Amino acid sequence: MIDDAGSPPLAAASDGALFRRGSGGLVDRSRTIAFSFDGTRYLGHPGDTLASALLANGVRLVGRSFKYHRPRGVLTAGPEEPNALVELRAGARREPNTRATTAELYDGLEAASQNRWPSLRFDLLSLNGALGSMLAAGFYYKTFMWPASFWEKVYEPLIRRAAGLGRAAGEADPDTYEKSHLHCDVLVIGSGPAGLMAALAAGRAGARVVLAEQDFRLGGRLLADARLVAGEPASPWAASVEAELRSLPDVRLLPRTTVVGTYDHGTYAAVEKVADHLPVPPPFEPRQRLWRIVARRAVLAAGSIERPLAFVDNDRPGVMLAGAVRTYINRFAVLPGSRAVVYATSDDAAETVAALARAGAEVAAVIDARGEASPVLASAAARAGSRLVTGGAVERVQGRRAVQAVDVRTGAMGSVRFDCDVVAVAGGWNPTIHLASHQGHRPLWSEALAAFIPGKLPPGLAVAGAAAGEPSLGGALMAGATAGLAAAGDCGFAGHAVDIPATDAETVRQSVPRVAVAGRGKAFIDLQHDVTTADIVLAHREGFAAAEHMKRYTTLGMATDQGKTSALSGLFVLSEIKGETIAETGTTTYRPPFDPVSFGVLGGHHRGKAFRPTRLTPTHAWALEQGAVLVEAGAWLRAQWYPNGGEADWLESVTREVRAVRTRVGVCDVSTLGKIDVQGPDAAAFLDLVYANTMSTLPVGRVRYGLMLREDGFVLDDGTVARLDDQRFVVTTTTANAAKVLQHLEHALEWLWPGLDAQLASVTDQWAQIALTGPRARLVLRGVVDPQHDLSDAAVPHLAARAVTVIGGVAARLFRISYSGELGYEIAVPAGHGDALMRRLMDAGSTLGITPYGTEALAVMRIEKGHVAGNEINGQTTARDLGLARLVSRNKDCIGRVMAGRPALVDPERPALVGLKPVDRNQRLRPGAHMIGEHAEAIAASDEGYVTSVAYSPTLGHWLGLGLLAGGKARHGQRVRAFDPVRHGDVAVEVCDPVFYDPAGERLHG
Amino acid sequence: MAETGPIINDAPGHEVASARYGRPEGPPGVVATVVQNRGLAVVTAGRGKAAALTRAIAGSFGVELPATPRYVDGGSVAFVGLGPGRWLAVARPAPCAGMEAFLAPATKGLAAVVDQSHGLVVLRLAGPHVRDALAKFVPIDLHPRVLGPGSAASTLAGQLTVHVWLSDDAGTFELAMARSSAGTFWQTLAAAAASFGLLVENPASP
Repeated sequence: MIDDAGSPPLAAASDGALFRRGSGGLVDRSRTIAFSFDGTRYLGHPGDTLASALLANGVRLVGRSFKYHRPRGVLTAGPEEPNALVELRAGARREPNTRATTAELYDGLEAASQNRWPSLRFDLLSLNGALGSMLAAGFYYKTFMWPASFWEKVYEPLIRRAAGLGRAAGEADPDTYEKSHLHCDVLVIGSGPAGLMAALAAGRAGARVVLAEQDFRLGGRLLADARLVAGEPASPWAASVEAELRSLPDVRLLPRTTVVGTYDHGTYAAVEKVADHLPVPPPFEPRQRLWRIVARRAVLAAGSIERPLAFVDNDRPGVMLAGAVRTYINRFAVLPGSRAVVYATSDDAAETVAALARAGAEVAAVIDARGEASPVLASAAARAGSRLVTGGAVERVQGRRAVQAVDVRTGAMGSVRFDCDVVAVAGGWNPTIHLASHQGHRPLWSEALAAFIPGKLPPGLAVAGAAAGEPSLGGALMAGATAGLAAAGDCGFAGHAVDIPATDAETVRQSVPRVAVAGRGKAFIDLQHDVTTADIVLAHREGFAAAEHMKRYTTLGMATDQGKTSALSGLFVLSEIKGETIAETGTTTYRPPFDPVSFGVLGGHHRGKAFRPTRLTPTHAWALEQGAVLVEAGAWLRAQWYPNGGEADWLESVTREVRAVRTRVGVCDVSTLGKIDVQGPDAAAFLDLVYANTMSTLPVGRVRYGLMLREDGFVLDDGTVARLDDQRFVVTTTTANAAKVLQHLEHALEWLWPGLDAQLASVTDQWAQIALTGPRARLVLRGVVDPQHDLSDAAVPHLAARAVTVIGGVAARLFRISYSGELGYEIAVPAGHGDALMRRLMDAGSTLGITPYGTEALAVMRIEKGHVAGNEINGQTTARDLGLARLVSRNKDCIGRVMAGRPALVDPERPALVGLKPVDRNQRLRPGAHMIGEHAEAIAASDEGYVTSVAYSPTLGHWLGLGLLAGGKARHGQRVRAFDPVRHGDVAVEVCDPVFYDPAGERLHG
Repeated sequence: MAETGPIINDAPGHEVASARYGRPEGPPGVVATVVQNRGLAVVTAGRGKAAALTRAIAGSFGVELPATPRYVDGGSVAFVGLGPGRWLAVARPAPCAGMEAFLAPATKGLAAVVDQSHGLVVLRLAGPHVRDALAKFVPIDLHPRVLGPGSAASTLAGQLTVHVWLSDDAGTFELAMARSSAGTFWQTLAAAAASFGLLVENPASP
């Protein structure tokens, strides 16, 4: 033990804080920083946490509890804290439920207490505490059952106002978050004695090592316990190891980084608090970073978490874990109280007794709940001059907003009251095994250690030190070194055994896990969710006696701390009630994350428009110049329409664009359609197998419409197939299905017909493709295609494909195809020439009335022509349903042919494609409206199909639609109603052929 | 994505402006250069023809097609292994007749050659923090022991597919990505490299 008894207790420190000792600790006394809590200004030092600085200033009441609004203080000195939750920062950066015990103090820090009104000291809702008997576990379900309609409108809002924790900022987060990937040989989780030695052993062996530590300072308990390592105090020794680790080139230290989850194949998630210790992140730095760490081996050295003990009013400010008490003394030079009672089931409390005495506090009593006298604890009590009560129990805490005394049952002597302002509770330690259990591996109960230790481990993970149940410092150092060396060795880095430094003599922790609660009143297990021992008794009585049931009935361990100090204690209580062993009761399931993770860091940079990629067409810049309104089509941004000055709405613009194409000429960028290059000696045979219609008969230089089926016989996609030469085709897909179709083709080629010699490549991005459509299209085309190419109808007939050059020698592909039903061409050029081609087309057509048109006009014209698109090819329609049965060749096999013949798919009553016109031509149609008989009742049983697509046809002067109607073609000439309960539509429509415009296709030719 | 300096807007890949982005002080941690005048093509061997293709390429260009994700440089043309029987050919300068005609004599009857000179954008990334920046959006191991000179990979850049290779001994990364979504790549890179300082050099858009 280190003897620093020379330092004066309670000497006024440089920050003027009453409970800060004049020397010692790991705070930087050369700097004093100011912070505020509930509007009051205090001083602290760099190296403080908010909790240590508050305690240094004598602030013990820091919050109100979740359900009963009881006054609460600081229980722990680490991330397991259930109690001391505050709102950190203000405005858009306000962060609720921040643990004061991990919040690193910075100059200007602002914190506020939570869940109190009007003030922390005087909280009106603490009345809930008086009503405690009505608010026991499950009271929501019992009390607010009736009337059912009251739940949403009355009960839930009331409960939400009364219960709960901090308030979210309610504004957009101004900071950035990011994600990053890290690969290593050995990931070491935790930088206490075991973690430091593991990292050192693996690092010296030459392995790539990542050492993740949730604290801002490496060392773990070495910073908190006054121990000697290699003859020197533990914290400088830890610093010397850190210095060596920093000098190793392939070792990466990640302080302020919590590993939150263990996943398959050695993958771990960790959150680095990059700038949480600063008022605002530095320029260009994120607030937090999510690391995806892929480690060939990992060493879990996460230490252990001390167990509280249950007794009446054990939640009063001043009741603290014994390990935390000495952490505040040793690490932060803060005395949490001046007169202490130590309540223990563990020899480990001896160190806290010694620390309190050294720091000048009076230790009024040491209560050992165990029946047999412990020599270790007895001698510590004797040295501290305190009274030892063996086999005693704390019955009750006196004091409301702070501990004033405890009543102790002293066996034969009855009850004794000890005045005190801090109660240090030492219930033994639970190994921090969460990360070893995230993949469903159940921990094992060790009777010898009185703790759950890891059982079967995830592949590649070893556990060392206190996390494995190792009770001694020397043992932890040894276990860490061994695990680090073995992990490096597994990765092919043979190292030498690291010398294990000597430690001072130590007490081996022993504990009993459970102590019966005496007396009436609330003895808390889960401080954050206000779950008491009585709640567990109630859960058991009501039949929720299994570990998982009890957890959910009482919500024990379901708060933001996920029960780090309470879940196992609750199960210990349950096992006692059930008369089982702890092993028989078992644990609940450990799931990631180990620590609360912000949504911001999970999203990283994928916020707003960066949520998903954006794809831009080759003519994007030109379209913006034209003032195009853009629409998202999958990842693509496409021109939806091009407003002209003076046009009232989109309909007016779209109407103008359609008329221009039908009477003059228009241009439209169609580069977004998927384009797949298919080559090879078996390319034609392959296309015959994947298209419903025959492609092998397609002559070179010709284009054919093609329909692709899924294996189950439904339509997958449609597009065109152009034969460029004997062994080369280029096929198009719809924009939406480009990736899916390529995947489908690759699967067919690699898996179904690996013997076919054909090769696929996506060329969607390689080619800009522009549709030039309308009666004057050929005249415009003449202006961009180089003059040596004959463009006459005879040279380039309907459905021709030609290799040409355009705009002065640019190699291009010219397809005479039309989606609009007018004379049409599509010109493909390498994408880098797309912008130039579009500008040249506009120039060439300037005197011919050329008009750019967008996806809306495209849709209007395809509906006028009765062409199906995504609304009809929706995964539920067959070729027959779409009126395309003639395309399914009977002379060859293809994917989907057999399954398309299933009886239900050839049922004549299946809904099939029809055209729809409003009987009153002035009425508007709505897509999604359901079709019912003219005089049928508007109920689901009357449903005969639905309207898939509608458009206002400028050509015909009224709305028209496509739909899927039972009976299909046989219904032509009949009337039905398009009934739309959502938008209150009920329109009589006439069923007709879906091709409304130029049914003979005469405009395509000539 | 606040504070990434001048905003890289939705410009298609080739059109990003030469500028300094992110942290303005000190030398840039990452230097990104738009590579011009490269001919690119995806070469896919016919069924059972990979060995013959490898011989033919060796005869014509003096390099052996890599059977793994590697980069091999034959001077006028380099090859990047993309997958079994599949390579990206990178010719510099871009051949006047186009990549398909350029490669046809060596590949005729053995492989499908598809020009991607316009479909892919090639960038060169260098600088002291290039690996740190890439690690933020590329999931593979970038450590020099794993991804050293001559290494190649087809992987992700954020949500985009990229082909990556290291073409020299100085640790310069070259990346090829789809043209239409290159703007998203620039935004991803600008965000990832902001803390190191990013210098973009685009000869076509000085």
